Amino acid sequence: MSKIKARMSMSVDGFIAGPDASQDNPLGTNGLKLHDWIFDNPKQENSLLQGIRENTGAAIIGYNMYYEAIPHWGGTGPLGDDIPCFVLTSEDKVPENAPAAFTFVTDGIESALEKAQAVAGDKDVWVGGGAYAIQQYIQAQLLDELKLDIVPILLGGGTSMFGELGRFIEVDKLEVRDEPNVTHFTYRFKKA
Amino acid sequence: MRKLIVQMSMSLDGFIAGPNPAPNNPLGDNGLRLHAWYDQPGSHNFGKDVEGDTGAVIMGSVMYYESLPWWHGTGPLGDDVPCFVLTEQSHEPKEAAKVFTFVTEGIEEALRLARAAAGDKDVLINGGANTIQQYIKAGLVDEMYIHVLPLLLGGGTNLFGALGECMPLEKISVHDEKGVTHLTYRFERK
Repeated sequence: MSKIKARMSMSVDGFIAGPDASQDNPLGTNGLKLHDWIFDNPKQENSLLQGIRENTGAAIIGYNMYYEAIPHWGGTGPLGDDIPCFVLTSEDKVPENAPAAFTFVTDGIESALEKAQAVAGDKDVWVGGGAYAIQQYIQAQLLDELKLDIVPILLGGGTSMFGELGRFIEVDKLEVRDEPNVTHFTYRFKKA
Repeated sequence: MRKLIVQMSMSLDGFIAGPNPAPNNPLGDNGLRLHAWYDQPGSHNFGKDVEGDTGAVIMGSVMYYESLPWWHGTGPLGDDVPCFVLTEQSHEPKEAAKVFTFVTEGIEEALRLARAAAGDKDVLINGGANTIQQYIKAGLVDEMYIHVLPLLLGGGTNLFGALGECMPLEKISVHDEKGVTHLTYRFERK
């Protein structure tokens, strides 16, 4: 059964990127430290990406993530060329040229999800980020599962994972797994 | 011993109280849900571990005034654990239970007094968020016990806010139990 999933590395103070993020520095000041647990361990990096790729049929990302990360993806989508990626955006921001993996969606998160589910089939839809895209899917009660990799650092500012969602939501804690420099949390959202 | 400790129950989205706090709703909307784990039968009470090692408490004046009606004439940890309240002279109450001492000379003086009173035991910063943030920014906190609840409060009082500087932490322990995850971190000293 296809699920809608997100996964983010987050600081103890709730940030997924440090202050002053830009195209040159997409994770902001000190933000790369949130990903040390992945990149310090090449085996970890491979198995993580492989795991997501195996189970994912389509990705959805926000435009800011697309814009800031595109130079770093080497001409493919975030999960390679064979996993289609839908980018939430407005008409004035649709780029003239983009790698074939990307489709730009200008009529909202539900439309993007329908399109993503149509191509994903039985596989999962992965909401890749940024924070605002994930927040919108949480607010709309469309997200099924959220994995948070909490890193022992206070970033002191930047992009907040949850912001102020404006509603109370209870989640089921499915799993907590501790590793030396990160603690992995898996939560499931109750469907309305 | 003699550590400066922070202990807080926090929602997954980083809040220690929900939106719309009021005198009859001091923890804000759904904020009481953050503390339901505390008396959960059959589970190890990490909160009581921390409190057993505490020789003195520090808190901010907002927390003092909001919580006072709930403490029934004693301090947050009873009558035996002295409690130092950070305040301005204009906010000092005329009368208070004798467990409370009001400190108007700032966070370092409050810590000095609390350490003197705590003897061999730890000093616990009881909150609120603003008081905790001041001690973290000043580099004075030794350890942090965070109890993470599987809830999104959606707004309210953020535990950390934007501290304005990056601080690495050392993860000491992770204890997961039904409905709550206890995380312990140590601050790296500069």
